[in-house]
Amino acid sequence: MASKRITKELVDLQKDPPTSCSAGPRSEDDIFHWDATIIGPADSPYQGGLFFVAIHFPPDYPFKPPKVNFKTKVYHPNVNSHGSICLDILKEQWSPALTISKVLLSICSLLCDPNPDDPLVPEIAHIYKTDRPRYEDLAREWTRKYATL
Amino acid sequence: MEPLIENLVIFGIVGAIRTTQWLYSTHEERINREVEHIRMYLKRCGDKMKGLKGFDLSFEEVLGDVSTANKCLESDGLGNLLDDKKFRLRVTPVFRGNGNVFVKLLKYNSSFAYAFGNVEFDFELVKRRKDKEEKEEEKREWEKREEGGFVRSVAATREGESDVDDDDVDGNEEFEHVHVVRRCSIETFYRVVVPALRQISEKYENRENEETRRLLEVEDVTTTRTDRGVTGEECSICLDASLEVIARCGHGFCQECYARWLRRSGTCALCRERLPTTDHGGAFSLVSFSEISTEVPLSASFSQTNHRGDAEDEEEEPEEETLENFQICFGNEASLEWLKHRLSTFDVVCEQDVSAFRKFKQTLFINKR
Repeated sequence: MASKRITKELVDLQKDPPTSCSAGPRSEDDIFHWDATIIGPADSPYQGGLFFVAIHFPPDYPFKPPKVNFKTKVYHPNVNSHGSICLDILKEQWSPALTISKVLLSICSLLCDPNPDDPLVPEIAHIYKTDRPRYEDLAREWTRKYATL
Repeated sequence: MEPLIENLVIFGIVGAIRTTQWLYSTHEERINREVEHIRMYLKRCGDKMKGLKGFDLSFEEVLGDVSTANKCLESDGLGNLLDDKKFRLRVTPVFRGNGNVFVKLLKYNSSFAYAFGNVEFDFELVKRRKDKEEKEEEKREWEKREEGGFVRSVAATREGESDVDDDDVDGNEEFEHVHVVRRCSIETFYRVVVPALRQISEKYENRENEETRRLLEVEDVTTTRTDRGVTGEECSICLDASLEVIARCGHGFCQECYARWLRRSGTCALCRERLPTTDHGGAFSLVSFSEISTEVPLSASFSQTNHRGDAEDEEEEPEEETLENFQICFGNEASLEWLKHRLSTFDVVCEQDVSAFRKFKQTLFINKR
């Protein structure tokens, strides 16, 4: 069931690709490991960046959420240095009706609107809350440093 | 005078005045009052009963669903629902107060009447609009039998008394001979009748076109409420199988996905509404009639035997739960029979004559949309 649904999602993604991200399996023979890219949203300090994301589907997908990690370093209150993302729909708010393209879109909007009240990196959340220009400068610098080809 | 007696007298006088007012009120006034009761009732239900999305409906939506249901009942696909092709069923929403006299007073006089009654749906037998040449031979008298609400005997045709409306030229002839045959609650209407009618009329419309059988056609019916999910084309969990189960909140899934996600989370995957842990989450299922024994279409129970793809599932025991409230079984010709049967379980109401009030009300409810 899992592989069938993943294949289906892949077909849907190719048929109707989202504007700000792309995704596909890492290799032909392993459909459970995907690589995705997210283009930094235009109205955020991540603009101009290209962020790589690794997706790992559990065997009982879609009943369990996929594991999604940033491979590119991101300066963000909800993304830690290992690339782990703190996003409710990837944890307790997961629903099998969600698809990878919806998840990637949620990550895009998380980049635009960080959630400092549920931070993964408290220091960044603190800066975000107290000194927004500094946060934006740092995020922009990280984007230039790590997310530009 | 004793204050108690004083109060009683005042109450009596007020009651008498109001009852008189009611007795002499016009059809329009009564209908408006009833419409108001239905509106208020729906509003109250919307707050109270979270279980069924149908109760969040506005009066206009209910009217829309009623006219949809009537459209389906009129369509050729449901021509066989009744034994006699000359008649068809029609649904009307009604407000029914409780039987108590005091409450009756309230019902007709107070704006709180909606709290003392229910909105119900009446199923009426009406004549199909007849062809010109057929008109002559149609002087029938009806009889309602106690069981099997749709059985009628074509009793001795009374030549002399032609019906008053028979020669109506204003196209109103179909409003004659209204007999309320069955009634059901608003919940039954939304959980059984509406999905059933949709299912059947869709099946019928697509019969010629087997490969598009699963594409649901009735656009004008479904576009009004896209979030309901009842009419979706595929299960939103596996993105593959067609809808087999309708959750209490109105969202559809395939049987396997629904059961699995229910066991895991106890919520609807689409709206996250909390579903009951027992009774299969209160869902009803749209399954192929052939899957269950045709002998027992009503209490159709269905044990979940196949758990394909659950191999990698952890601790969960594949429970041998029976879907007690499998309410709808469709998929082939037998579905009509089934709906017939299901309708026949609704309460019987017999109203032998049709008041002008009722006819007038029909024009309101039928022509609304």
